[in-house]
Amino acid sequence: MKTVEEIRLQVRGAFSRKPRSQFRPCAYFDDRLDCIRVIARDCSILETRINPMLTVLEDNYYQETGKKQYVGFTLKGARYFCREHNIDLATPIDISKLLDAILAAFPDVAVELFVNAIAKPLVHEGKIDTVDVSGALPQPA
Amino acid sequence: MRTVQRVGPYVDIVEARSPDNHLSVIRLGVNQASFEQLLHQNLFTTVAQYYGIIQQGLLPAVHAFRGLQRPMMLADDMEADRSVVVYSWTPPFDYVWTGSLSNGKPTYRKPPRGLVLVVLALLESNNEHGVDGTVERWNWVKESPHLKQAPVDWDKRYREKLWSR
Repeated sequence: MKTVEEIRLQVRGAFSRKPRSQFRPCAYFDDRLDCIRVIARDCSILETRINPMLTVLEDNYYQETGKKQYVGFTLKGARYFCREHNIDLATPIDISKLLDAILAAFPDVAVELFVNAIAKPLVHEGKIDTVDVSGALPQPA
Repeated sequence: MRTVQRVGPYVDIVEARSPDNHLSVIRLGVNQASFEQLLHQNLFTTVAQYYGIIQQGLLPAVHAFRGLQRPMMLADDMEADRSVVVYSWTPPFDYVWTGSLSNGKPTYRKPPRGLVLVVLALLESNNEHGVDGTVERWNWVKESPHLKQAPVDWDKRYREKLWSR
């Protein structure tokens, strides 16, 4: 098991090309696993399934920090979902429209609760407007 | 401290148990594009988890599963999920990055009870660098009440269980 000092040095080394970087709420496309990930906080994440295509992200230690429990969500099978719902993959996708499409695609109480009570407030508070699914490296929100 | 092993397009190499036989060891690369994504989004905690847990190797994995029970397109492959192997186990520790990059540090945490770590790998065949696949993602999920150190609903999440040990 490494010491925290060893891990600290390795993390700083990995980020050495961007030494003044800081986390900001973001939405990005995980091309290799075909997912859109929306993340409002840098933390240790617990993924909980809403259904096979949606997971909500929780901070594993929110009770200790007193911060909010929910910190993001993932849309899995993102390319498939966007094509099925006529969402143009070539241009950045409006997250609000994506959430409306999710609501329409999965008309059940759990998804409605997830979108309205968790996802929409997260993207609003984090000012996360769009996600680029075209394959280009996205910019932080 | 284990040093980083750069090979071809991989920023590092980790060892894992073979999907076919848990007594055999395979080599998984860390895909440069995937790792760059973590750096680009400044996900310090996820990167700290990599160096603190994943880089030590996936040999402690207790279960392996293959295939995701959801749509997944990679390039034009509509069945790319069949190339995904998922390893799960319960590491006794976790890390959270606290503070800024320059002044912060990873903080050791004992994970909450009832969670398991899942690591998703994409298998590749005939790789010129002698790598059997790539590590793509790691996160915690709730533990199955019926199978220790496996994710809850593993039979709904994945196509098949490859092995348990």
